[in-house]
Amino acid sequence: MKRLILVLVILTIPLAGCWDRVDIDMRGYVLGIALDAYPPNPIGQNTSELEASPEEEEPLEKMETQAGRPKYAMTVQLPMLKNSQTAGSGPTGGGFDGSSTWEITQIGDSFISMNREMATRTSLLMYYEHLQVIIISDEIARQGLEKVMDFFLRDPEMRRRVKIFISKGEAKRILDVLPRIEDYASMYLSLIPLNVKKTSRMATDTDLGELIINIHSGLDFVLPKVEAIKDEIKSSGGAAIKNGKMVGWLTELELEAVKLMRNLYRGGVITVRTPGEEEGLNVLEVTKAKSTIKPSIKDNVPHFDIRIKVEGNYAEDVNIHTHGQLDMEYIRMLERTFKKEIESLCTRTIKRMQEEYGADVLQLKRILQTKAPAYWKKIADQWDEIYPSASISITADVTVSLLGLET
Amino acid sequence: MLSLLKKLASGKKDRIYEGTTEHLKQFRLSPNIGDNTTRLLDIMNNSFDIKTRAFKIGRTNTRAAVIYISELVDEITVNNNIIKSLILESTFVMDKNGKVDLDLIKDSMLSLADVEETETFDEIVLGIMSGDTFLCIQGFTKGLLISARKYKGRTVGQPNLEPSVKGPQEAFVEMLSVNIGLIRRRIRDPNLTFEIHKLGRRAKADIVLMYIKGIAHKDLIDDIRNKLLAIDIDKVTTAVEVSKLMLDRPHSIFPLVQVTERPDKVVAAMNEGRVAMIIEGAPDAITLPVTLPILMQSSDDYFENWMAATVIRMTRYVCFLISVLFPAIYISTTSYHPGMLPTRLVLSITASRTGVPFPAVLEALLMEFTLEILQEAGIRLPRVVGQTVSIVGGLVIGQAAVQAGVVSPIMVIVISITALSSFAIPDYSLSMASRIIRIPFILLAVTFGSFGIAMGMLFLLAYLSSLRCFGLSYLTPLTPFRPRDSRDSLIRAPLWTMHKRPEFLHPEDTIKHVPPAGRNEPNDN
Repeated sequence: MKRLILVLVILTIPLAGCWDRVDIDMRGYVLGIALDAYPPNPIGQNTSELEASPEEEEPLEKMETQAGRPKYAMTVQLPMLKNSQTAGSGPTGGGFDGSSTWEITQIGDSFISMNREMATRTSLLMYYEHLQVIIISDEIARQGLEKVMDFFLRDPEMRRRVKIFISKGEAKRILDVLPRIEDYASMYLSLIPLNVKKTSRMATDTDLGELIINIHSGLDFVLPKVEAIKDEIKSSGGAAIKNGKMVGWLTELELEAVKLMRNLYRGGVITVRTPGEEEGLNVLEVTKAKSTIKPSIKDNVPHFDIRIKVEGNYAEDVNIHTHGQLDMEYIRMLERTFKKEIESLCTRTIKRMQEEYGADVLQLKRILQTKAPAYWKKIADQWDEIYPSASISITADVTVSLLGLET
Repeated sequence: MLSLLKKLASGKKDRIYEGTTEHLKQFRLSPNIGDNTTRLLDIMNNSFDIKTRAFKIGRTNTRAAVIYISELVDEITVNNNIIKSLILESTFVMDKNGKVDLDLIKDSMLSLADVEETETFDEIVLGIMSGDTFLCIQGFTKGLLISARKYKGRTVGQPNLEPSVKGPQEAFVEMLSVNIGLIRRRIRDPNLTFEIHKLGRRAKADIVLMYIKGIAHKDLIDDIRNKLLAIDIDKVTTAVEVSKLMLDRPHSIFPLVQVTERPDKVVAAMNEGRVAMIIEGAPDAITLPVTLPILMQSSDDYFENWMAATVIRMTRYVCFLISVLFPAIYISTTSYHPGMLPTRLVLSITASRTGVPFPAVLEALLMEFTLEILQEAGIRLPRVVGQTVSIVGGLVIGQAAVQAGVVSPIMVIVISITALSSFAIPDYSLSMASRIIRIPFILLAVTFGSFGIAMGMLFLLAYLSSLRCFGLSYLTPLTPFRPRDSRDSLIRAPLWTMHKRPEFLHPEDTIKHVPPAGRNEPNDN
């Protein structure tokens, strides 16, 4: 009897049937997704490849839709993997045009159906767990992120650490870039934010998980901006998102200010004009930056007191003739200059956010919710009107600690 | 089919061999030596290696004869110390009446250590078969069994299966007496006990049960002795075979005895309170009882600093896991959970697999099979052509198969690491076990993915902890957990902290080492 049970148990192994088993080389590892509007924006400055493609190819990219009309174009990037033994050049061979990726564009109404439609065009099973980036064109972002992101938020194969970028112009163009030191544009792009300790001009913490949190808590936020030419990608500055819709771009310096104020600053440099020198510049390499925002309510108007504490090393001076004067007094003077620069930069930025975009990118809403809940309850519905008129004062405190090797 | 065979077999009645010597007990020596020699030669079927030499003692007419097996005795000793002295110097052995006195011969003439009087043929035959020389003298119903054994065999050499970097480089040989000497030389303790038993209806091999009285627990010794004496078999070649007949769990994949060719290991085992057995004609001893952590120990562990030894020992445990699980984990992650791997690794594995015609599991089984062929061929091949295996194996499997696109390079790496890991397991039988249970894990991985591996591991753990070796749980001291004893299991604590013998063996003498008074941290090894 015991033996019979054992045999039966063993017999269940072949019965299991391995439904989910897919050999590793049978999957298509989607590395990047680009979302564009269709038909492409006619005033977009770049000629769309969709339009440029030969006549006979177009029908493959369009699909028969069930309900809606095709509004979006989704491009996925698949690596072209050649057998290393036969291709001979490194672990990943090269394609016919030097590219080692294949970008498949599908036009359709919903993203899951587009994704499924692609299965009719590839021999591989699309697999999204290695997705590195999702690039959204600014056109779609302006229409509203929530509208298009649902599939990506809902699908269990989408990892929460996927980086999100907003492209200036067509998103597909980013995937088409052939980076010189990397085979896959998506991988290249996803690694750029790791340099955030070196520069503060790119946004941080902007992955899918963060996006979900922000969207579901109704917060405004900044997504990194990405632009590309033929073989280069640049990610700097950002896109301000208000109520899930993109309202405008942030310049690199504005982004820096936002990061300083939101306590997201990881490192970077601040440059000021030397007082009393015509062309002279002084550069501070920031090692530590911390900000605190204190809300106070006066006459039903919220006031925010933002204090930024910056610590850094004196990194460079350009074009100045005051060498030998690097004494305490001079350093104090520099600290004051940096302080002024930071304060004015932040004030300028806040003003533009409040007046031009109305986007609460500092997430002051959350500060009110946590630190002044009673007040928040009263004004919850009118926050959008109150925010532009909220008074914000900025105080910076700069310490120069090291002077470098040269005195 | 089976029943048919049984029916056919049942036609013949089983007959059991009743023994060579027991029925000879009824025969006693006759005073006539002619009768005695004829009968002896008759019992031993006139085999050509049995030599008889008849002669006269002194200048008397008293005839005598020696009978021995020429290959088992030292013929020079027999000639010089028995025959020569009896022929030439026999005046001593005559009493006043000119008659030969057997007791005088025994006591004063034979300059050999081991002389026994005997009367019945069973003793005589067994003695001659074991290499004794039989002397019988006309007119006496008693004979003398004289031990002048000289077995020919290997000299003590280096351990082949269990080499070590430092420490003794001696290994057991096929001769029991030499082996006993190797052990006795290492412990000059009168309590070191060698119990000799004869085993095998036909073979009557000497099997020696060894233990240190006062350390090994009495019940354990009795248990092992009883089980040993209960064995009724015609012949055994090695002590391992004997142990197979004694164990409670004969089907166990995991070795429940430790087989060793190193005398220092046997001595160490006995010093902990375990019992060892060694048999004539086999160059290895077994120690009992055994647990998995014991099998993972190596003598080198104790010759190194404890930190180094601990790292090495943990590496060994990891190697055991790799040997069992690595192909399975590779298959389950690549075919079910590629999301668990870093992206670049996935891409490079995928690239290396492109164009390979088989699914990963078939590839793994293929390589696994090839590996087993290589190992088996490597063992069976004569040393002279041994290189062929490595060349053919390395070149054909390692390179050509990959270049031909039959297997992926990554699979070659996986199987190679697995094979290497299995060699890092100190006990050969344990390494064999890891090779066997690898296959079910591969099948589980391909059908159920990581879930299957987890289930398999659960089953394996349950199985391991269900194993018992003479009442000792196989995973002791890890489970049941004994903190003090586990200092010499996954880790190897400094020797001065392990001053007690393992509790789980219930030694009668518990203290192994008394640290000098007032000294808390002696040398760290």
